[in-house]
Amino acid sequence: MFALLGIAGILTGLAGSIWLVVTGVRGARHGTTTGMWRPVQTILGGAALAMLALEAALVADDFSLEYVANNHARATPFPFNIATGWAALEGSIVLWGLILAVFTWFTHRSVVRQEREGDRIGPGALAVLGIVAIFFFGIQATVADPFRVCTEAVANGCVAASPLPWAAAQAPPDGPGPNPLLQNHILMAIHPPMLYLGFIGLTVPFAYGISALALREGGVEWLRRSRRATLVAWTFLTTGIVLGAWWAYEVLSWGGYWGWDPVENASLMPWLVATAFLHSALVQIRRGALQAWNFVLVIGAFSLTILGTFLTRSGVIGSVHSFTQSAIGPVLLGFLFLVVAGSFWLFATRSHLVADSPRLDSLVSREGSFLLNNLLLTVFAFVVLTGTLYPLVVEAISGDRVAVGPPFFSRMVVPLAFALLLAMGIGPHTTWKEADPARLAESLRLPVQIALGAGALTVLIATRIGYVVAAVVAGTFVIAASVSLLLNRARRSALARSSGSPVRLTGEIRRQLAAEPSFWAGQLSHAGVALIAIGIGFTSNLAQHSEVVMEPGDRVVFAGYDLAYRSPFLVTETSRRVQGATIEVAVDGEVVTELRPRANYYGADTSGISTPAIHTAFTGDLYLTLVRIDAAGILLRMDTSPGIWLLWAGGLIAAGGGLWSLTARRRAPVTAGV
Amino acid sequence: MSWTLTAALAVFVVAAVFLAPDPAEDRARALGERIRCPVCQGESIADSPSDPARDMMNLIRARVDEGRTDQQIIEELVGAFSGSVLLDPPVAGATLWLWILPVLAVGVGGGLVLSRFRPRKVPQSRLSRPAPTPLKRTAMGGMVVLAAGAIAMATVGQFRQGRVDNLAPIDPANISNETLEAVIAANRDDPQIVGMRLALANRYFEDGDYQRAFPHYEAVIEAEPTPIQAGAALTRLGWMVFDGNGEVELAIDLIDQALEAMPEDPFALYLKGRVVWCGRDDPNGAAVLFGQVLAAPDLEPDVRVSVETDLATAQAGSSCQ
Amino acid sequence: MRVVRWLASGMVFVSVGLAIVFTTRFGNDPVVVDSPLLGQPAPAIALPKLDGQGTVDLNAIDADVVVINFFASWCLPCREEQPHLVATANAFADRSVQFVSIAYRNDPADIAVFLEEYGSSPETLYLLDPGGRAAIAYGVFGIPETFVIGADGSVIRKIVGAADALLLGSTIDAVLAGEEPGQVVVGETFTGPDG
Repeated sequence: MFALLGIAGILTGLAGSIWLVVTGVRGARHGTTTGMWRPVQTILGGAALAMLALEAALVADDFSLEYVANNHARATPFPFNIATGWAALEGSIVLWGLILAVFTWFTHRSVVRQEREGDRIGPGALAVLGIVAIFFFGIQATVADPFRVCTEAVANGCVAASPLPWAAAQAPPDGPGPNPLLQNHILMAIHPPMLYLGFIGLTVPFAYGISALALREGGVEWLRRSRRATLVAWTFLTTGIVLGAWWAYEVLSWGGYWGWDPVENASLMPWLVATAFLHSALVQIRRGALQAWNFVLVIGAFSLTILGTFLTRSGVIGSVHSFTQSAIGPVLLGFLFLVVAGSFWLFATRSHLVADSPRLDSLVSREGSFLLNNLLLTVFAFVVLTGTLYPLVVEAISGDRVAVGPPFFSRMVVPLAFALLLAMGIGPHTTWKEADPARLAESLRLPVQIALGAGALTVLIATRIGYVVAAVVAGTFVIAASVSLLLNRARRSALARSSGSPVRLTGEIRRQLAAEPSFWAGQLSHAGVALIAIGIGFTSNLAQHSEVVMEPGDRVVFAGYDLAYRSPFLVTETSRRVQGATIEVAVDGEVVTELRPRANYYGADTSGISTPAIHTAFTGDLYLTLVRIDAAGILLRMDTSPGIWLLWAGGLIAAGGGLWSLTARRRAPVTAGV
Repeated sequence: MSWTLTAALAVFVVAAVFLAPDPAEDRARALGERIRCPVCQGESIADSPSDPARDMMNLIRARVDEGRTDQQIIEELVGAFSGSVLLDPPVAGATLWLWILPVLAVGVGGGLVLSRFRPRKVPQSRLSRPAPTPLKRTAMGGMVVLAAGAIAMATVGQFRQGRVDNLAPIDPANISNETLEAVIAANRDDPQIVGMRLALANRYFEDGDYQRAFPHYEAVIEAEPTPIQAGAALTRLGWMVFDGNGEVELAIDLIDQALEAMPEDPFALYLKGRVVWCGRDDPNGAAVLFGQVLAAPDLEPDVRVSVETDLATAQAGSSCQ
Repeated sequence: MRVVRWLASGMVFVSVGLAIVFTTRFGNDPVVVDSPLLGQPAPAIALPKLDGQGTVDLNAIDADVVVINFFASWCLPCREEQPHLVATANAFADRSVQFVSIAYRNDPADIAVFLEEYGSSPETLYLLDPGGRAAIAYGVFGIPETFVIGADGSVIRKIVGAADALLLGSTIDAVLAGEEPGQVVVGETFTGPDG
């Protein structure tokens, strides 16, 4: 029954997508926005039905579906049984389809609300969304069908299946359940949907851009109308990436949070280009410049999203993240090629649209900063792309196998990151058109001093390692530059009104924030990024590592902590066995906490999944992992992650800036001196 | 606050950093972060908790203590595992372009960006000739790029390091006796091994190694062979029994059994002829048998000649040679 | 805007190139690498014998062909390979061929049980690898892996995955005949008890 419902949902979605393309193209031709709400509803209804059918099958333990038989187990606890809906390849595409349907629905709502006469871009954008939807529902109906009925079951799964929902079904008694790594932590349930909301959200500005190109309408229209969606996508993407890093840190016991793994890179590249797009669009809205950049960036962001999907699911690059290989690879490649080649061809043939993009007067200006920012972020994305694809290309050409790992990325990316931090600090202080270098230097003097002061403080009390000090200086510079900008403007505005008493100043600050919420939200995001940079500086250079063999009762001193191995423990849960050690942690004689690093054994596994135990303090985390545990004792790995909370806090603050920008509305008119 | 303060702070910080004593470097860990764990997906051996990674870290530590340089240690591991285990790609060889491309990108990008700020010159030359349409340009450019790319890939592909998987397929004629012995021993219970056994036994037989041939022929017969296989085995068993042990009647009996399985088989008839001639000292009986051999349709010419000689000699009544 | 147009056109055809590259990589197992030891002198290591009766210097083995096989009791393909190794070792007993089996991350007790169950040859040297040094020196990515060393002490052949008697025997024949170094992948390898 679930199979029937699910396939009905998919086919409904597919039909709705085709319908939307037809009505969208018609609407774009004639400039009407009517007649598209039914296709949009159909798509949403179909996608929702498919997702619900899949989830219902999982919750009801319906093992007659191949997807459930091979990915779900009766013992899987809630909410991981729900998360199984997107844990494996086919289910993740269903979620993709649903999120795309939701974004399409919101886009339609925004198009209709415009109530504009002769609106062609809006329907055009919906048509493009429809084309993308055709692809994703199409693969759900063919190569990535999650509702295949199991025709040949074995004890623990399904070995043959049929796409026909009325086929004679065999259901195995139970299934293997999701990959143990995906059941260890609740973040697993949240991280992929967040990322998908980010990736898929980027389809909307892409759709608007392609629509503008196809209809030969340059200008800022398409940017303005897609800005909200871009912000939504960016916010979710930021959150998803940070959550992913946090999850890696908490779950995978190597103590790191970013491995420059191809799939991690696949999520970072769209983020970088989307960030560039977000900034660069402002220049076009304000001054009409950088038009070509904006088209290229939005095409690039969406293409990188599809590239990322392709890399994750096609098996051409091995990775800890990969879904298992399936026939979806060539199809995704075809779509990727279509998107990239088609979009750039469209752009190339309409480049006269961007021909009269006004020239920029000076590099030392707000526009110049944004342009520099574009360049840096694009090069950053290019470096990540090169590093990720290089082994593939080399292997195809010469058969050599090379590995490109963190040492390459770090070396390339660190200078770019510092340059970006500088730009983040200086940029907001520059004025549009042309900035006076002397005034700029003057307004930056205090932030520079504060930053250097922070550097001096670091040198005195923490460390003298160059990278750390530089990270502190750069990060502090960014934050100080933002704060000083706010204070300067508030002070000037307060003086303009009356005498600048402190109470007035606070009120004036609030007024400034309310007058330009998007700008200050962006500054908040910058501050978040600055914190991340400082956190990365600390963790990358000041972490300590050690390991020790202990028997019950042994003590060891590590990084200022007294660790005592109390006893081992063994717990049997419904879906796994947990074996671990209880370690007492003391500082200066006072017991601070008890940590329980452990190994989880799922099903018949003999090698467990190691889960670390983490103690968080202001100066950093204490990170314990069990390498080995047996009757003789334990082999305990000890690491510190100094200042790592800065990463998580910074990440959430950066995403928070995006959220603020979405929710705030301008309350007061723009004051002078902007 | 003035710029003097700023300068002073800057000098202080920079000096403090550059004059700092080198931190006690954990060389082993630094090296470990450059080597990929061979059994994990992309983790370095410094980070991976798996046993092979730990063994390799111990090796690195031992080598560091022995006083080897970083380069020597890396070369040792690359020499064992190949360059694919290096997370830090070298600025040479296959990974040279990896380092060049980003620098190129910065250069090209920076150039493009800066070029936007030059004052606009009126392009006199461009006004005089008509520019090709965008579509034509794209098509032309595309064809050039595509052609260049195809030629490049083809040329480079010539130098493609041959995957050493393409070893020549195993030619049965080249397989040694020992290999056949091993294969037979390893697949003892497989009924399809009978053919291989027979082939090996025939080889031993032709080499005159009756000791080794014997057990294989016996095994063939015990394994319910096809009539042709049975006939071949029995014939040769019979001959070995005669030629090796001098037993005449047993030999004839065995060859008769062979002839029951393979009637009128020339080889069996011939060997029986020889046994009868040399064993029973019966040239007439032998001559009859040789005559039956010659009646076979597809004898090879040199075999025919040899049998005719024997026939003539037997008919002449001489004893066998 | 010519620059822009050219760049965009260029992107289209870069994507063609990349599409070609990706297509060639489908279905390719990204893990198996060609051993750099082929044609090079075999590593010199001394390993203790399983029965505790001394050590064997892998370099000092006096034979025309040395067959070094890495195995473990927890490795499923190794269980299939063992009878073939035993049979081949026995078959080549009176040739100058020495079989060496090195246990990879395995307890002596487990190894003994494995050899009981799947067979062992009196002609073969069974060795332990403390600290995994031999596995590292030979660049072992997973087991079973078999290295065949020629009379001049260099690694001529490498077999990745479980070999059968035919492959082992013909490889030895090839090495004895002085053929070129080469590597062949015949099956999956295990890196740990779960695969």
